[in-house]
Amino acid sequence: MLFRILNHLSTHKQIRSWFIFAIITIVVIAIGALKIGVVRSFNLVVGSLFILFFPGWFLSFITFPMSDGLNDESELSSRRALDIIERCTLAVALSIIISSIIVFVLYNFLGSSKLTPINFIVAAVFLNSILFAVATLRKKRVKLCV
Amino acid sequence: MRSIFRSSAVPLILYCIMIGLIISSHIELWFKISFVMYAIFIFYMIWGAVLEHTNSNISQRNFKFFYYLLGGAVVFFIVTRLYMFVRFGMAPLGYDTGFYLESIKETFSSLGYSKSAVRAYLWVPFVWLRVPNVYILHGLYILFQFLTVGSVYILARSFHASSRIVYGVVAVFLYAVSIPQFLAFWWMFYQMELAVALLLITIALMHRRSVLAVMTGAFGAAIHPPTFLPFGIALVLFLILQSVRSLFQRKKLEKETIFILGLGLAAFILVKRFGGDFIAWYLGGSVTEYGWFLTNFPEHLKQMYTGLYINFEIFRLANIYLLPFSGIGVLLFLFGKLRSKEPTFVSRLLLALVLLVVLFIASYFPFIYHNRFLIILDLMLIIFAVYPFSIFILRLLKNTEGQVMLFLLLLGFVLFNGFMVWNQKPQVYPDELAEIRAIDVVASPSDYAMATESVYTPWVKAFSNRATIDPGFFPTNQWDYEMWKEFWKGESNDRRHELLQMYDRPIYIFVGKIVSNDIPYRRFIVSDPHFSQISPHVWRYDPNLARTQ
Repeated sequence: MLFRILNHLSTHKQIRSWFIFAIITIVVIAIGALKIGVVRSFNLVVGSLFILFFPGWFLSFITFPMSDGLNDESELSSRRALDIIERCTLAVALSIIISSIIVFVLYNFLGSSKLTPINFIVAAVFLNSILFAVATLRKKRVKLCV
Repeated sequence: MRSIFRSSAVPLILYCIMIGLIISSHIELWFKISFVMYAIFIFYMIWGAVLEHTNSNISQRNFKFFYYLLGGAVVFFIVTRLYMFVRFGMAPLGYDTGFYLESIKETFSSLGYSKSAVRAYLWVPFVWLRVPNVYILHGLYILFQFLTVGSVYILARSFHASSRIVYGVVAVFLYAVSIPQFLAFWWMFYQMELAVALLLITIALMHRRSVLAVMTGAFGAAIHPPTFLPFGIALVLFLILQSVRSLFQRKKLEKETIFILGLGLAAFILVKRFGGDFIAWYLGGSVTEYGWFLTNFPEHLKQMYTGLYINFEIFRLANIYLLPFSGIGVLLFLFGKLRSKEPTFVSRLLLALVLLVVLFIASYFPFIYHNRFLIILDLMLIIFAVYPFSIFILRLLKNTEGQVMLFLLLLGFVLFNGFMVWNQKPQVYPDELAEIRAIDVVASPSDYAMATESVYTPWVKAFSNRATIDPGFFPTNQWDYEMWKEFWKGESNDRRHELLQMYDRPIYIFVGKIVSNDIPYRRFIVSDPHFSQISPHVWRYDPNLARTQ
């Protein structure tokens, strides 16, 4: 059973990437836990990912659904595809903007009393879910077209 | 060799003029000679390779080399950005640290006070996560540094002049070893570093015809308007040039140009709608009063409005090894020697060239904040240096002698920057910082803190947690510039007492290490019995007590 799971992990590129990402996240949380405790470390790492990475990551897949390798030289890859360094950079940049916009909207359109941690979490999770759903649909459609 | 120089006489003459302008008159003769030889050698190698079309194929082995170069550059970059923290503690960077820490403290009140604090929106969730302010600031700042490396990579790859991986990796390497970029990091330009990364990403996204460019451009312009100002000017000039070009060639405007036009208009409307107040506040006061030229500013404000960064002369010296490459890059473009499969490649580089020229003018002439434009100018020089540099590397990789020479050259770049990083001192040393923090413990909440030099103002304000008297920035200060001059350089100690007695509460005066022992006011503080020394750099002065004695 374990062998089959590991075999599946090693052959499926996308699952492998997410698996490595999860391991790194757990390691970072564990290191943080040594200094500030498990709960705070978990909040901080997962919170930072939701503020500084995930929104932009999903949005990057909506606008650039195709991925290419670092040394991919095809014509297709020149404009509409991103390699891993480009995607991570774009993910962070867009996440900074999206998170700032969430605070801006909560504060300016709903009033300063609505600018609370709970409202921010609800808004961030809601927005991330929508972006995730749209990105998945977009990737599927592009795969079908290709 | 002779044939290369003969067939490229015009570019060579232009290149020699450029090299002549680059050489500073302040450097020694032997250095000038070595630099000219270095520059001519580079020209011979690169122009020769371009004429011979030798860079068309990249072998698997070369790919491997570029992966190693990428890894090495990233490791060197991480070391240079973290080294200061390891050696000098939690606040080793420059002038603005204190102001930003103060700004984080007031995150919620600043949001309440004004809707224009764009930078504060990102701090809010981290304040909720109970992250200490100093970690929020430095954590995000380091993240912005990585963002800038990534954005240099994206932009370089977007140009697609040669192999994309080669172009991207060389750009990252040149960025990692750039001294102006390290100094920009050291000065702690929090808003500007984020805006610079967003500017590069905006240009790259524009070339990829992505609407996300509106988002990154508008946000970047709202967070730091001066960074996007030269780009806005360059964009207008570029669109005019493209229109004239298409008129003469009797062709329709390229799709990419039309896209850029639409995007520029959309970004302008967004910035005006959401960031208009902030921009008006940021540029308004000083510009409406004194204009755009530093020459019209009063003497005591000039220093601040230069942009508080290295000047053009130091920039030229710090970039001396890169400038020949950038010069050849510009010449290769102007003489049509750059090749690409991208049909809009020329337009892309034309925009970069226009931006380079605008930035050169903005940083060379005494406009306000002119020194700050050097940071973006350096990035554009890197972009133009990438193509010649990659040709240079590919040519040297062909044989063992070339590989040794390449190794020495890359090592030279790394050592040149490494030496600079190693010798870079913090503005406030850890022991000084501990003394300023101690004011918060020993002083009562109503007491004043005082920074006698403006360089210490943000530190004293942020870490003493007291209303701070300083030369001209905070409203607690009651002296004008003439009074400060009397305090700093005046002959009369009685006058100094008179000045200090204008305040009604005890003052904790911080006199940092940059103030040498023979400065009159330091001698006064050290020797006068009305001052009591709290720590090596902090003295307490009670105006009420001094008045009665």
